Amino acid sequence: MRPIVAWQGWRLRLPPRWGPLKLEGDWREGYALFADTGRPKLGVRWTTLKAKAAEGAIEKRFGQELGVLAAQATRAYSPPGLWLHGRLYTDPSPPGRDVWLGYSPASGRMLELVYQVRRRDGAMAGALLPSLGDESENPLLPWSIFDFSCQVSNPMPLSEQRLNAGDITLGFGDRRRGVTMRQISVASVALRRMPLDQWLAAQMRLRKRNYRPAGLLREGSLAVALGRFSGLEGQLRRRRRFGFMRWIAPRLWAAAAHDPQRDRLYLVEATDEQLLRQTAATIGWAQKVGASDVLV
Amino acid sequence: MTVEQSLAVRPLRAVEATVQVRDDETATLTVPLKQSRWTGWFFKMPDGAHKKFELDKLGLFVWNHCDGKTSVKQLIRKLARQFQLNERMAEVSTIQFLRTLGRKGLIAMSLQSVREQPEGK
Repeated sequence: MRPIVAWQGWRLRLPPRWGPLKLEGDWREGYALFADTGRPKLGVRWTTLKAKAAEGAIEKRFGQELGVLAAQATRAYSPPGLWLHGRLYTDPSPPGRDVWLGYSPASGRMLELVYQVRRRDGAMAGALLPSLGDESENPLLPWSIFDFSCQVSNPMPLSEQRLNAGDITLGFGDRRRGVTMRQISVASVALRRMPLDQWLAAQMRLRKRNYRPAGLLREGSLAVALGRFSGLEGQLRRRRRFGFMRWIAPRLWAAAAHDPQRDRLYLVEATDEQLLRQTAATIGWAQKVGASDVLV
Repeated sequence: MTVEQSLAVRPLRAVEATVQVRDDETATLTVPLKQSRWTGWFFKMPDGAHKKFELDKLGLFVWNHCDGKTSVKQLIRKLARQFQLNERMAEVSTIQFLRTLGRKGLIAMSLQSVREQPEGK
């Protein structure tokens, strides 16, 4: 089963041994590089363009990436879904690079995929491109990186990303309306180091500059895409001295739960409880979808 | 050394350590201390002096596979499979942990498989 990678509106299915090496930029433009344990495998670059400039920009980009002669050897290829001006270059004598460029009118972005091919394996046209999709018009924007996945109401831009080994944090929105999710693995090791209440308290302490705890932590449960798990909940209240800062949410809701099946800890923090519950309910959607092509 | 070659080396336990595994799958590694040549001029180390290292579940898994037969790449794949981790995540944490073990003098790296490869490959 090839896991889904979903980032800034686009999604792909990549071999399980490939992981992100570099994730840069924002929704408008950015770059992602995926590698296995040995070497870089796939580069994804996205750039916002006007539709009428897309065809010329694709041609120009091919020239920059491959040179003028190789750019003439491209063929039209559009993966399933709405992609315009899709063109594919297949390196005739690997090792080399297979390059695909296309324009998505859904998001108004040009997407470029560069696959480092060592021998002719047909992975680009046979496996990578058929799984390519642009979810930018989806009311819930899917995100999936490493083994953490969630869906966030669209538009709510990515504001924070920390992708440490075993500790992944993604934050969305702003300080008025936002949500932050953290997944810790392996949970059994993490819980031996610190119990769940301390994990949640430590997470809440990150906001101590502007917020103070409102009451004690209480037992609760957190429903994620893979089930409902018991955990803890807490609240934070904006400190009085920051009362004039209307751009900071007056309250923060936080919850933590342990998923014993996947051996993961989930910590979620949001500016309102409904947002917390809605977003938490989508955590693990990519793992639930598994091999099927249907998004939750 | 290329990335491929560095992943092909085989970590090997370099000390005679006693491993005491607890019920919760954590372990204590007891390593006898050796008197170094220069400090011996000033200090006399007591007999039976030792150093203890605490290993968690993942650390114990890595330590058990430092047998001189398992390459770093194989170790990463085994760890990722055992604890349902992405290989990239497992790679980062395993290499960091192996570096720490190496710095403490607990493991050495067997370069046999690397040397067997012809130059330039």
